[in-house]
Amino acid sequence: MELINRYVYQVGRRLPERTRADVEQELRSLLLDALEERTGRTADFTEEEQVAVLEEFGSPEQMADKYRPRPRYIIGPKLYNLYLIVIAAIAGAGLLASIVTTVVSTLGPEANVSVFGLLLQAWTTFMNIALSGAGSATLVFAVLERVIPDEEFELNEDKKWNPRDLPAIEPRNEVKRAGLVVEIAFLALLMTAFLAFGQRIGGAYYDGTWHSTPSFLSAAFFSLYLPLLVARWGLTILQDIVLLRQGRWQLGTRISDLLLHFLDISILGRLLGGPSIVNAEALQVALAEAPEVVDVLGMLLERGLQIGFLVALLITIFEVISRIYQFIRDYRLWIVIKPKQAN
Amino acid sequence: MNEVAQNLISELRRGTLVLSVLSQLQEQAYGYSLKERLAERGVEIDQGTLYPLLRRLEEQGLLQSEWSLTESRPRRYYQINAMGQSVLETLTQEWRSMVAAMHRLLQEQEEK
Repeated sequence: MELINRYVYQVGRRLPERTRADVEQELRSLLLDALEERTGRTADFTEEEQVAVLEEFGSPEQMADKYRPRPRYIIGPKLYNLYLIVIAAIAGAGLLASIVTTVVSTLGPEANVSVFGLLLQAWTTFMNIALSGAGSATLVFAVLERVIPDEEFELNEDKKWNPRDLPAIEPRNEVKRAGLVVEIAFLALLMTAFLAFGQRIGGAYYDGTWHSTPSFLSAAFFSLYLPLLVARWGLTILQDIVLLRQGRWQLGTRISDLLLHFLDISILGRLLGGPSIVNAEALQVALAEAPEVVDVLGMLLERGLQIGFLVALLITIFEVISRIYQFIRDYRLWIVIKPKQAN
Repeated sequence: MNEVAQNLISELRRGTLVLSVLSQLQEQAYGYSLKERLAERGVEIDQGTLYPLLRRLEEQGLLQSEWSLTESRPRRYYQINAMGQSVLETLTQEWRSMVAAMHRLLQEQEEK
């Protein structure tokens, strides 16, 4: 009887105390019935006989699962949708908080402005907030799942819905031609402005006669960044022309769009970590009358630009992740790695 | 047999368990005797499935049970109650209508 007793004990310890003794007693009785039927005896069962009957009943875990009054899960189907909404809100809040704290950290006088350092800080802040928030939400929902009676759950199932309220289908792959035309015109103008008049983007000052300052944009801007920006704008114009001809997003344009976003990340990374785009000399000339302001203004300008680049970098990274996700979903790329089903 | 087909058959059988059990509890029966009675009539149910099911049906108010202490060992006897009887009638009606409908569907398919 040793194995029978051990089995009954193992099932019982997995059950709520309220029903444990009763289930244990019934289970023992049922096991003995089965043994009696199998052996024709009412006692002195051999180990082999007990093993045979217990195998028929299934493992203690399986048996306890079936006797348990409710399935074992942390958050059940009735709260699950609400739980997902809360988790998404926490992730959004984490993203926002990580951008804000990272930007604030660049403002101090001893600010660490290395691109890698800032990205690492943004990532760890996001993970801290997202993980602790998700953990707390899971705990709260797990408690709610157990304290709110089932009949109180009427969150979605019984809500009357009106088919007329169904949102219109968004043409996912169609392009907005007017938007593309405006973008092409704007980028062409921007390229012309920087290439033809970039060196003249400066200020003017008056000391009896009018003088113009050197360009506010540094030599590094023209030698390092402008070629990249022009390439980016040119490629965007090309892509827009292809889109205008095709009238819709296709696999090729989606890939090229993703690559252009990677180029954006590379350019923004260079802008953050490389030499300044501001020509300090032009500032000195423009503010020759108030030299004490030059350093402060220069510093503010530098920091402002760095914050702008950083925010743009974070947004672009987020966009790339979201586009990759959309890409995988739309083109069902997971089919490639899905194992074949056995026949 | 194909694993998918086997799973579908199990699912199909699972849907009939409650009706099978309720139909055989007009008289009192304890777990093992009920299992044997069902098996004799061609319905095989795992013991690990049948016994917890009896308790669930009792919790739902369709069965009543009592311990019998008059035999060689204590045994819990189950029997259908008034509410269970009413549910059994509804389920039986539904079952007959489903069988008729399925019969028509499958016959049509065979005739094609």
